[in-house]
Amino acid sequence: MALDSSEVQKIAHLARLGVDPQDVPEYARNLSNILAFVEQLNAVDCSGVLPMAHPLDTRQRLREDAVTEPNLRDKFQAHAPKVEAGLYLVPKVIE
Amino acid sequence: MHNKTLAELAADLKAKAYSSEELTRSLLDRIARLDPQLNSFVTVTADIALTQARAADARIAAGESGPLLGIPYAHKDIFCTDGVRTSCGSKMLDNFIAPYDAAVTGKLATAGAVMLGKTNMDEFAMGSSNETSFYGPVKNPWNLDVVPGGSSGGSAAAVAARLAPAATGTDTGGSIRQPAALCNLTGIKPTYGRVSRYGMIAFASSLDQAGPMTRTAEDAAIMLTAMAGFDPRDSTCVDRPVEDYRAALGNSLKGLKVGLPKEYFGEGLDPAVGSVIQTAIDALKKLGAEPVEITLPNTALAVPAYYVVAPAECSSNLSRFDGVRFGYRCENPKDLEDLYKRSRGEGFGPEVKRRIMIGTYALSAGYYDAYYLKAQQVRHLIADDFKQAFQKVDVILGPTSPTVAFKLGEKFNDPVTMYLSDIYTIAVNLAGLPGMSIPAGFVHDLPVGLQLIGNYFDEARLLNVAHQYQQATDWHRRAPHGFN
Amino acid sequence: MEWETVIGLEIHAQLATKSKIFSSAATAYGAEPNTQACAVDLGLPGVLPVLNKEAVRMAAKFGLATGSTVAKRSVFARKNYFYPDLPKGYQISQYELPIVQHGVLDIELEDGSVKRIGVTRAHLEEDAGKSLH
Repeated sequence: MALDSSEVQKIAHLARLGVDPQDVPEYARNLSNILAFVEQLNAVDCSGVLPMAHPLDTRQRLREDAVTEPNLRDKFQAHAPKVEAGLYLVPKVIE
Repeated sequence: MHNKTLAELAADLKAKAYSSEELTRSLLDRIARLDPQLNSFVTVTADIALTQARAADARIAAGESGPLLGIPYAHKDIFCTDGVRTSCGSKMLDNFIAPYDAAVTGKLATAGAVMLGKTNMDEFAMGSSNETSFYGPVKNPWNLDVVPGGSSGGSAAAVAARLAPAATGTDTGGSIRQPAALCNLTGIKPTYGRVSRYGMIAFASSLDQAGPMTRTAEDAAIMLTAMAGFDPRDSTCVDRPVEDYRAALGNSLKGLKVGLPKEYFGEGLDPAVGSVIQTAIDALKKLGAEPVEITLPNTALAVPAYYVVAPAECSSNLSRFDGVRFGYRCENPKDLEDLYKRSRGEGFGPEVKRRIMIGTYALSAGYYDAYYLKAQQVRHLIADDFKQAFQKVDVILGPTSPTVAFKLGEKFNDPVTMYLSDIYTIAVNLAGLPGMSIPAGFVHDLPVGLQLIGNYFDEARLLNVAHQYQQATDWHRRAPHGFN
Repeated sequence: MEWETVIGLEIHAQLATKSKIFSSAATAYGAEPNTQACAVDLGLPGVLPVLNKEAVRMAAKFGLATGSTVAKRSVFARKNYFYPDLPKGYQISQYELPIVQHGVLDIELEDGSVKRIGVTRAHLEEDAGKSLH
């Protein structure tokens, strides 16, 4: 399936990726090539084949309900882009 | 000292022929002198290395011994290291000082290993040439005009150039084995779940595994014994005792059934590489191994399935890089959407953006079944091929890469051609099997890697085959001119 | 024309576990901001979730109390979207194969009659963070 520039822009928006408008045609070409390549899979008959999420037949391991994590707020926020009073700051969401 | 293997260095340290501090200083000097040509390190952690070396010397003086006690190593910059920048080869994490240690980092520290620094890599491990790094490409010590392979290209170049006796790598589609092949190293990707992924920055969670890159199979066995093991912090890590991988190295190969998949010797394989592999098969026959022709009929589907599964998982895994809690944030965002789009748009390079977009598309409403679900089904077919094969053979053998190392820039603008250079390694990740690459000869003065694939948790057998082959050959002892 | 009113309810209940569903950080009410947010909760690069046994047990108990089917095989899925209170850019939730399905809850009305409410499904998920505006 070939993607055009407007579809590339839509996908970039879904992924919240700023893409320079002048780079969009090249992304469209590259992404279309990749999609054309992976579309070989369409020819394969997979009826009755289970999707494989994990190579080993394992069970989900569960954790005991115990609090073991200390408060490391200062350490985690030491290199954060913008913090104040222990909060992470972002531009205003609600006008 | 720099030409000695890890096992030889450990013996010398135990015999007090020199101290870990002396060894560490000599390698730090080599890095300072030689690495500007290669660009294999993103960060050299000299102070940490010397502190760890002195601590190891104290433990040795107190009578302690251990195969990694006082041994310097280079650490791929995908593993979190507490207090040290962990960049993952990306501008996005250029300022990220990890606040905790990865499981592998902790295990190697406990074993007394000495971290020399963090190695360059393709951005977020996405690449096969180490050209997508924010810190610039790594050069192959065998020829500075060609790529070292990727994504663990910095680790490969560092060990090949004798800047470190061993390094860590990660392998999602061949990122340990392909650079090992292109740089004349021994590298092993263990069974999925053998090594904890905790603290290893995720690319494609269902495929990622960590493993060692060394110059010999014995050294790989020593490193893997230390890196492997159960970790309750990784739900996919398998609770199963770790073997001492050195224990089986000496076993005879007599009667060993070696499967040769016909799909790995067909179209696309450079005939010169093919003939090197044939010579290696003859050498293994002399050691008593019995080649068996096999088929892995779904081989051609591995790369397309991978380029759905890996981008889909990466698009979700890399959503956390949003400029809010860590990493890069754009200047003066005008609103929230601008913060996200510019932080991510400026922080990620083109290959990472391509893969995020492919993955976003494949997971988006209406396309999930056609792409991701289909690829996961194909993955089952690929795993079943191996299952059939391992009923007849003990190990599978073939080339690691269809060609020797290619020129810098040669495939950079052609993603699909680049992706096909991983054609022999990718299926192993999709099936979750262990695979390794060992040096097998040269074409145009560039190294050729031989790939061995084992059944689940059969790492010891792979290392055994590799070690026996290395007792009978000396390819793995060859050093690149200018770095010997 | 006659109309019948049908009301569907989506109810979010916080389970009274000591630690969070996917991390060993505390869930105590009223703590200072981000003092109970560990590396896993913050979605730091490299961290991984590990499921809380007690949360699963509570979900199974709810399933049994409502006569539901408690799934032997249940699947977690990622709900991907971008918002500042969603650290990883996805919420670990359930879509196909939730842990509890097809139950009922009988309630007594004022006139003494019993009305049966169907429980279509109940699933486990992590709560997002909290935004302050």
